[in-house]
Amino acid sequence: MVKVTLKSAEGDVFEVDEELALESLMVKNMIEDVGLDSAISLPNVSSTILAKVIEYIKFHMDAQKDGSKKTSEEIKAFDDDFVNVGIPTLFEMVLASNYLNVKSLLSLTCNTVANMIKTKPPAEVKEMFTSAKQAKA
Amino acid sequence: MRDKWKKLVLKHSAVFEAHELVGDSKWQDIPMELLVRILALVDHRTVLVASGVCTGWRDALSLGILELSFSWCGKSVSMLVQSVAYKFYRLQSCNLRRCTLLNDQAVQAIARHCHDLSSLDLSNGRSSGTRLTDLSLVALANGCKLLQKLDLSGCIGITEAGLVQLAESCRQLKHLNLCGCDNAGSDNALKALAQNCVGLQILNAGWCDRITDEGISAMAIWCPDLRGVDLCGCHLISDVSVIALAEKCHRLRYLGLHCCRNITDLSMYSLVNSRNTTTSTKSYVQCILSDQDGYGLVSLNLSGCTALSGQAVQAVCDAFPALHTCPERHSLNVSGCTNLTSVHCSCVVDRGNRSAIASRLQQQ
Repeated sequence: MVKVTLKSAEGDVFEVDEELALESLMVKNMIEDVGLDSAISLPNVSSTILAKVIEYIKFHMDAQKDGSKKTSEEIKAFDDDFVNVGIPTLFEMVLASNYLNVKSLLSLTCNTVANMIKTKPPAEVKEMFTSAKQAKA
Repeated sequence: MRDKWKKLVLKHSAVFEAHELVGDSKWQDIPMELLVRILALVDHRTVLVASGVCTGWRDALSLGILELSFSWCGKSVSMLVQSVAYKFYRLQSCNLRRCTLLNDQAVQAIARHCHDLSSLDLSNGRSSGTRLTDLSLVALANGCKLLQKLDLSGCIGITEAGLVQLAESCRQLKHLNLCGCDNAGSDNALKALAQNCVGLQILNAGWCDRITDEGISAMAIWCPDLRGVDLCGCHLISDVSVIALAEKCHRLRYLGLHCCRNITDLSMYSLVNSRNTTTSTKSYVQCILSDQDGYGLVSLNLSGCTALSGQAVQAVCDAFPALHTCPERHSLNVSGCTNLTSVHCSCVVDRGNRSAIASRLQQQ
C-alpha cells in the first residue's frame, strides 16, 4: 500500500494510506501536482485536528467496505460522538474540513453548528459563539 | 488615491499580525462562505439571530445573505424589518408575503438600504387590508431601481399615482402582480408601465376592474415580450384587448380572462389566427430561435365568458395542442359556460375514439 506523508501546522508527521489521503480533495490535488515523494504540508491544520480528521475518514472508509458489519445506527453514533466537542474545536474542524475539502465532514460539522444555533434562544447563541473568545483570551 | 491604498494595505497587514499573535482563529472570524453555508441549513429567523451574534458575523452575513423572508414574523414585522434592513444591504430577494401588519416605514427602510433588490413580494390575502400606500411605491422607485419582480397583490391602499412613479423608475420590471389593487390598476398606470417597462413578461391585473381596452392595447404594443397576462374580473375588457395581445405578443403563453363577459368569438379567432400568422412569418422563426421553452398558449382561462360559442373555443383548443380540458391537464378552463360543454381537447376525443373502436371491435 502506498503511503502519503502529511505534515501538520506544528510539523508533526502523519503517515496514512494513499486511499485515505485521497478522500481530501485538497490533498488529492496536491498529490496530482507534486507527486508522492515529499511530505504534503498542511500549515492550516493543527496536529490534534488532523488526527481527528484522519480518524473520521478511516472510520467511514471501514464502514463502507463490503465486509463491514457496522450498522447505520453505529455510524450515526460515531458521528454524534465525533462532533460532541467544545465550540472552539468544532470551529477548527469546520475550517479544516473546508480547507482539506472533505465534503462529508464539512456537511457533518456545518449541520452540527446549524443545529446548535437553531435550537437555542438568541441570547444563548450570542454567548456561545462569543464566549469562546473570552475564555481563550 | 495612493494614500488610500497604502492605508488599506497597512490595515490589512495589521489584521494579519493580530491573527498571528492570537494564534488560532475564532468563530468571529469565520469565512463568509462557511457561515453562509451553515446558515443555509437554518430558517430565516435564525439567520437574523446569527446576524446579531457579533460584528464579524454581521459583516459576513451582510455580504453573504442575498435572500431573506420575513413571512414567519408576526405582529412585530415592521419593527423588525426597520431594525435589520441596514444589515442586509446586498439583499436581492425579499419575501414579505402575508405580512398584514407591514407598514410603509418598513418598505422605506428596505428601499433605503437594499439597492440590489430584484425580487420583492408584498402580497397580501385579499380579505386582510394592508397598510401599504403610495409612500412604499415611491420609496421603491427611488431606492430599488433594479426590481424585476414585484408582487403587490392585495395591496389595496396603493393608487395609480404611486404605480406610475414606480413604473418610471423601475424600468427593469419583468413580473408585476397587481391582483386586487383596484385603486392602482388603471389605464394610466398600465400606459406608464407599457412605456417604461418594455421588458415586462408577466402581468396580473386581476380584479382591477377599471382597466379598459385602452390600457391593455398600450401594453400589447409596447411590451412585445409579454408571456402571461391575467385579466380575470376586468369586465370592461373587450375583444380589442385580446386581438391586440394576440397580434403583438407572439410569446403569449398564459391568458386569464375569467369573467370577461364582453369577450366574443372574435377574440378566439384572433388567437387562432395569431398562431397561423406566427407559423408562417419570420417572427415565428425568431420566436423559436430565441425561446427555448417554446411558444403558443399553454394555459387559457375562459371561465365565465358566457358570450363565447363552442365552435370558436374548439378552434382555439385545436390550434394550441398544449391546451387541455381533460382533468389530468386542465389548462383550458371553460367552467361556467353552458355553451362550451362540447369543447374537448384531443385526448378526450382520442379516448372517445379508442373506446368507440374498442366497443365496435367487441361487437364484431
